[in-house]
Amino acid sequence: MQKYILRRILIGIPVFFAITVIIFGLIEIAPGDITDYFIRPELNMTDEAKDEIRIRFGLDQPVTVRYGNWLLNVLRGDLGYRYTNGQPVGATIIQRLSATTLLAGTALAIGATIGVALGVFTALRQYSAWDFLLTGASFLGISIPSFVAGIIILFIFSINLGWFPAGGMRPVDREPTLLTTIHHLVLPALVLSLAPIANFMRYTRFSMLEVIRADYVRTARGQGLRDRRITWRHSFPNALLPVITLLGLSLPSLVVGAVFTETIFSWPGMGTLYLEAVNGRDVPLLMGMNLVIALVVLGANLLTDLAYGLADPRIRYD
Amino acid sequence: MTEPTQRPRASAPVVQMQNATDRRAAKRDDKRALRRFIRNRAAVVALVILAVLVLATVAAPLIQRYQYEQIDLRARSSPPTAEHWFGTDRVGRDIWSRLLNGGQVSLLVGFGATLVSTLIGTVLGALSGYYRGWVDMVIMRVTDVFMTFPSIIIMLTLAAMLPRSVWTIVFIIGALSWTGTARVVRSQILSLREQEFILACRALGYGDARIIIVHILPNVFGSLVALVTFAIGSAILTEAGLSFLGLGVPPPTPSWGNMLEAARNLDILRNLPWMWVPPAIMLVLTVLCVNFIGDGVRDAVDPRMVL
Amino acid sequence: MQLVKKFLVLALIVVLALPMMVGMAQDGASGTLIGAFDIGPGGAPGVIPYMDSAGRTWLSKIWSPLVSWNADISALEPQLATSWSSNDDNTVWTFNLREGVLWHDGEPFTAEDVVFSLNLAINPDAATNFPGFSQLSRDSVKEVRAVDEMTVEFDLNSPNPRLPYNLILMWILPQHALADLNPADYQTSDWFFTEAIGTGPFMHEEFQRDQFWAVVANPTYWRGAPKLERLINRYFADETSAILALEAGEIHFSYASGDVALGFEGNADYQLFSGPSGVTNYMIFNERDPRFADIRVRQAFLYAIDRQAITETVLNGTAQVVPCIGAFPTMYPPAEDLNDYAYNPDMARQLLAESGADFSQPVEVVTYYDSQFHSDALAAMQAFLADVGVTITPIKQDVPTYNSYFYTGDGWTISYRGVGAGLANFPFPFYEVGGQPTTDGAPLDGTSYPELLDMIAQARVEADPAAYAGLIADICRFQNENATEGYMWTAIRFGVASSKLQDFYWFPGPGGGPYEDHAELWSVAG
Repeated sequence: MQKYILRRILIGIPVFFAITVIIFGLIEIAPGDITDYFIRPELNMTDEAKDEIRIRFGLDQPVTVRYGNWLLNVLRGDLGYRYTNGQPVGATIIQRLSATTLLAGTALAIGATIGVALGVFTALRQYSAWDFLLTGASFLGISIPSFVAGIIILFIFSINLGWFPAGGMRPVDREPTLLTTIHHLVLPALVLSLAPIANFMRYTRFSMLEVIRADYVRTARGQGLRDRRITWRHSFPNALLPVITLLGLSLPSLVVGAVFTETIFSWPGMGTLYLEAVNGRDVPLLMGMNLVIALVVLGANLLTDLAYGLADPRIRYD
Repeated sequence: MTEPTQRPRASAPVVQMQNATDRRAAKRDDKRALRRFIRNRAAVVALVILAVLVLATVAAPLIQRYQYEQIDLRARSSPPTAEHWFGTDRVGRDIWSRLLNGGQVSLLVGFGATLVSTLIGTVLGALSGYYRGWVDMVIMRVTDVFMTFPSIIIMLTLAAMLPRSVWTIVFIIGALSWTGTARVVRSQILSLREQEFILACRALGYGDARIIIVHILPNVFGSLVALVTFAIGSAILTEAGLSFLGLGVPPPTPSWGNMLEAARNLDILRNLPWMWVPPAIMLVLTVLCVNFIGDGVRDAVDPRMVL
Repeated sequence: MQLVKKFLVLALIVVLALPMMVGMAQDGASGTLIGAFDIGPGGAPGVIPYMDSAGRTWLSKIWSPLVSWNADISALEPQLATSWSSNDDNTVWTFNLREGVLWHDGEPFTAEDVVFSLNLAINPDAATNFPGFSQLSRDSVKEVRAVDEMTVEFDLNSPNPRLPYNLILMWILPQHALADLNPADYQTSDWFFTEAIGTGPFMHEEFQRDQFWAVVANPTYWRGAPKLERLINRYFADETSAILALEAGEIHFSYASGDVALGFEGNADYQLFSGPSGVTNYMIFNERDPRFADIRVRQAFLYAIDRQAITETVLNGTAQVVPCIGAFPTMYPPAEDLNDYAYNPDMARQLLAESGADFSQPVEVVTYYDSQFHSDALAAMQAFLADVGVTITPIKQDVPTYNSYFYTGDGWTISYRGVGAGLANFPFPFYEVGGQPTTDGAPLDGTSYPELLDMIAQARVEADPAAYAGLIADICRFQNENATEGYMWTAIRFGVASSKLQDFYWFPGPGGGPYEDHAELWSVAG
């Protein structure tokens, strides 16, 4: 087990390295840099002023030197300062990451619980009207993009019914409490949970159907065990196993959904920050964010593997 | 772009082609799969709807009533009328024409990007699975990088920084969504390459390229079809998503995505629903069809599953 | 099974009950005004002084300059300076400072603060954007000195008849609080978000990055203590979210684009504010392309596009046609001196035919604009030009990409863009040889008009306001007559406020001002 973890971490290192090189290279060959961000096209700025900005950010140095400096600083635990507003990258990311974690975590929790529940529900009623309806709905769930769902939900529940705030994470005129946070969280989390609900449901249903047909369940039934007992003691735990992997696999799609959901609901998370960083050619922020995203994704994959191993003793790590 | 349209599997290989000892058996299998697919009513209905959609967009020049870029300042922001079936936008362009032409672009991106990703994925997967060893090691590590890292992040970076055009979008989406294909092809080939008919081919002294292309890939085909179908849906959504953020197909070329982008403007969102509801419906409908078809295909080629 | 059902029912109840549990009352404490002051082109969330390409409406709540714009940016308004004058050749300027002004921490404001602020703003180590944004180059300032407690002298290396205009962006910072700050750390210092001591009507309370910046009334403000208890600037991802929050009653004010603002017209719950954007939108023709070196082609473009119809219909009257680069009517000569290039497609076709220019291939028009306003405008322009046989293909780019090659003068044929063109900050560099960064020292669009350059050079040093205005009008006449560029329109910008606000004022100053809005008089009813 420890050997496995160690190996995964060792494999992770070149992956990190590759990602930082790729992103740094991309920004380097992209047209425009931070000086071009600072010149609003509707203002005028002299060459002299542009050169000063370049020198200030060290853009006059060759790309290898800049990458080297960045890497050295990262190894020292310093992610640097944002080009666009001089704020520390590390602190900015921590703040935004916790907002996104709250949103995506809630969405994933909702998705997993409701999805698994619906999956079991439909599997036990295969070919019933409920099964037909919910399976159909799950197709809609995976086919409707979050920006369409987001706009519709925003419009119904915030604009027309006025039940929830139109965006943001907290009221600004009083201290946030647990209730206000939940109040702000409901709509974006709902939008972001649509896809996980559908995915978890389809996955659980499939897995459950497979288990129900498995020999040991038939045997159990043959032994005269009651249906409910078979379902919950024998089928469900085994059907749940493969679902665990979905937790880890959901992460990339959550990131994608978060970009749109955060944009529509003004949620101050990583998605909106990334768009800002790209538009501003904010290299330290872009690099820092990519590093953190890679770290989170690799970490989540590792955890998923381990969880899977814990749940299924047949799995060996070697 | 958003949600993965493919149901992820815990145990990697999608299909076990145990009977595929030769191409005839594969063909027989394909026939059986086809029959199974036809029995899947939802998938067949979806296929018919999608066919109609594709035909309509391809036949746009015949059934559109105005050029999509033609403005009419007297008929601006018109709700649906007998003249403009789906109304007009704020410069008086016909939404019906834009919807058809936009569909052309969206579907083109969907199919084009999938073609790119399937080519890359198949080539890399085949190389990796067939040669194994360090080739496999390198390719799979690269696949790991692309897989672990949310491709949307790189897409956003690329889309913002490359020159904007339909082809750029096709390239970006295609170049970043081949990992699934590569993995499936690789695992298929890993299991196929040890089978007798391949060993026989090798004994006969056939070249690697011939073995891969003529004898192995056709057997992988079945499982690829489902993957490709899902990939098309995913690519269409990705285009729409990028366009929604203003990073996709550049206007005035319409696409369902950039027609939807108009909904980010509050006035249009609220007062001119005919400008964004049709593309939203078309988008969801198309992807829905594609997913139903993909599901049908997968069930058809995967005998283990009854749905 | 039962369990699953129970669970689903419970989940449903929780979701539906939530809004009731939280309570729908969104109204904050009376005396608190919440606005989206950094939405729209004049906004820049969380910028600090001297780095402010925009966002100055908000900065002016905490800090003040010596002199700002007046309410409609037609003239200067004294702030921390009460009066100013220059010597005969405009090389030495003297500013008399306001007596009795206190910093938020109670320290008195003096001439030393002004000297400190300017030296910081142009300090090469601090590398601020102030010299760039204010068009006051470092080399032009010889020295700034405090003559006495309440008098400051600016000693310049070259004559500058309009120095006060350059100083509008020079926010005065407290020397006593910042003297120890290493200038190299200026841009990364968090002082501006934790202490933020100024002389403005409001005092820093709390800053939450990307969420809000809250300030409270400054009881010692020199115009009198503000009526509001608190003022909060809330940040939004985009205009749509801000407007939705406005309609939901969560905020009291937001910028709104023209089409959205018109939706509020006649609604008693809201008050509308509007003004000229101060930005002229135009097609800049790259005359390195020989087709556009021909005046007939440039004029044909103007005749071909029905600018009047576009502004009145497509843009719903939220823009006005301009005859030249000037964004304000005060910069134009009498109408009879100007060619209005009224819509005339036949004339356009004829001019194009005479010129013999080949437009069989599509021409790319690059732009960095991505708003619906400009998308609609470009679509209309495209259709009008197609009508006379010219195909244009709009290409939208993000700002850094656009800037990275637009200013080289290379790689583009036409660009649809905007330039801020106010009376006092006329965009001279756009027309001066070598003024804009083209690699070969040629003017940006490939041609220099010697007469135009002469007039600009004269205007630059002209001290007499009337003569200056005359020169600006002459420049306009010249641009109009020669169709030097494809001048289109200037947009009107809007702000929407709740009618609960009393004595509230907003104006779309370029970059957010700073202009005099008497924030100390604002209040919230109910």
